[in-house]
Amino acid sequence: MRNKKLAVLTVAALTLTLAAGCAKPPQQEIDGLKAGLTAAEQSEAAKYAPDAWNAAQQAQNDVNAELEAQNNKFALFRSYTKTKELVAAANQKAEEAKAAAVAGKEAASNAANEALAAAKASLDQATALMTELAACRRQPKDFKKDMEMMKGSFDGLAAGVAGIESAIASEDFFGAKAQADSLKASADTLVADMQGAKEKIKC
Amino acid sequence: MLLIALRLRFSRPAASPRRRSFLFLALLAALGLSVAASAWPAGPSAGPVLDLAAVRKVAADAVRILRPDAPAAARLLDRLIADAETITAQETTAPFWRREPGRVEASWGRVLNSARVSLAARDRRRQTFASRWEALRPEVAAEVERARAESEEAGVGRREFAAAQRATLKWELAERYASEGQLERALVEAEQARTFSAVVHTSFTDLHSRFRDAKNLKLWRRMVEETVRLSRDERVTAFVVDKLDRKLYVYSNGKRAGVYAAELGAKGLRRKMHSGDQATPEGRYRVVQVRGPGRTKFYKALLLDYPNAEDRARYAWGRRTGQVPQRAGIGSLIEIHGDGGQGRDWTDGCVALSNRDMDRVFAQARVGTPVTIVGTF
Repeated sequence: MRNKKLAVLTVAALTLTLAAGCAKPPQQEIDGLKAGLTAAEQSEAAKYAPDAWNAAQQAQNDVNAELEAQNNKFALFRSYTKTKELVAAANQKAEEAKAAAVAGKEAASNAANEALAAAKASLDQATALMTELAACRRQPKDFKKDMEMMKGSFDGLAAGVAGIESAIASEDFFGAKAQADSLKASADTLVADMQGAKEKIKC
Repeated sequence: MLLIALRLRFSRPAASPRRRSFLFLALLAALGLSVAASAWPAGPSAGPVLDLAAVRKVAADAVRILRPDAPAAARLLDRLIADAETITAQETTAPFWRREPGRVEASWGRVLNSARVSLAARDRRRQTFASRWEALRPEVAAEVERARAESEEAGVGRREFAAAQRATLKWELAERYASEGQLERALVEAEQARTFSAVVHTSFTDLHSRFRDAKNLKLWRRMVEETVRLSRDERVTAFVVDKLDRKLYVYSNGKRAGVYAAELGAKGLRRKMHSGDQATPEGRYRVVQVRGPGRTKFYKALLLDYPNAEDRARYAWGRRTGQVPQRAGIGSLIEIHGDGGQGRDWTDGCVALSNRDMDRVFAQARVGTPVTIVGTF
């Protein structure tokens, strides 16, 4: 009878041991995290939300480190509870990185389009001033050279608009903004020159 | 094994209970050992010890560094890392009889090797770009500066102003990219700035080529010699205008009596073909009217007898060959006048002097004074 009890206890202990030894990494959650990170990367998080992307990657590293720590333990003592928490946190960071990337891309696109609009507005102002100057009754001889130079400068600036539009179309928003800012600065200088010329010839 | 042990323990007695108990315990011990062996972590069983945390950090850093400059290499490294992670997970959870010694090390070794090669390639590229930029920067800066100056030369026009403006824009952008460390983009913009500068320089060179032409120089020198001889032989004052040097020389009795800074037409270095081309004519002329204050818009003026016979012949040839627009006349009212001293060529084809210089020249001029305008001599 005593032997029977011992046997039952042994079987129960073995069953428990095997059950405890069967603790597995949360593979489904880890796969979900990988998918989340891939989605964030495809949203160009590294380009448009570098801080959030780095945070997500750091979170993934934390998950890997915890997984490794658990894997290095004797099977009976492994626990993936903290791993699951870290995976959930990393998933959250991946989601945030994706959202930040989408927002960052939209912000970059808006900034590029706004910079282009501002540059076009300066060019429009230059066009209006050029029309006024051309229509001015008083056209001193020494003004003609200035006018031709201003027209040439305007042509050069106006030709740059196509390049900016093409950069925006190819989603090079940062490049487009840089070009548009440069163009606007030059167009503003041209407008100032035209206004100076207008005052000079009392138009 | 467990079933065998249980069967041994509880089956009907075939041997002594002591022996059965011994067999049962032995089998139980074997079972425990095998469970322990399969549950023990895999770890690197052969080859060098791998510090996975450090390797992961190195790999992640490499991906971060590569991403902006070499996205393809960064993606490849990402894939290799993912593979290595899968292999590591497989190996750590696999039972001992299914483990492959060295597989984890090999997978991370591939990651590290790829990272090393990609980073070295990226560094080489960056060094190449940096050295190219350092070499190109002073050259393009000088070319853009030259284009700006050349675009203001008399004779180059709106197209060249536009090209100079585009060169300036591109160069500003190139410097901006370079300051942000985007040397590849900076080089692209710098090359474009160079292309636009070249447009201006080509026009400028074409414009100036006639001033180096031996035939032209010979003709102009002969014209000047004849004018100086005339001044000496007839004991009169004569004016010679050197378009390239922007100078008006006064000869009195064949001797140089004064030199004054002159300004030309807005496209003054070109040879005049028709009205409105803003070019300053070349040839031998005479003063036909002396206009004092109140008779001209430009302080004082000496009206020349442009067009002369040679100008008319050139104009007719230009009409025949289509070089002169159909509606354009030959032009007139070419003068030496005041209101100059602006430091640039700005007239419609006349020669402008500062008012102070005009006073001196005007004082020596009469109707009939010879005026010779040449490219240079």
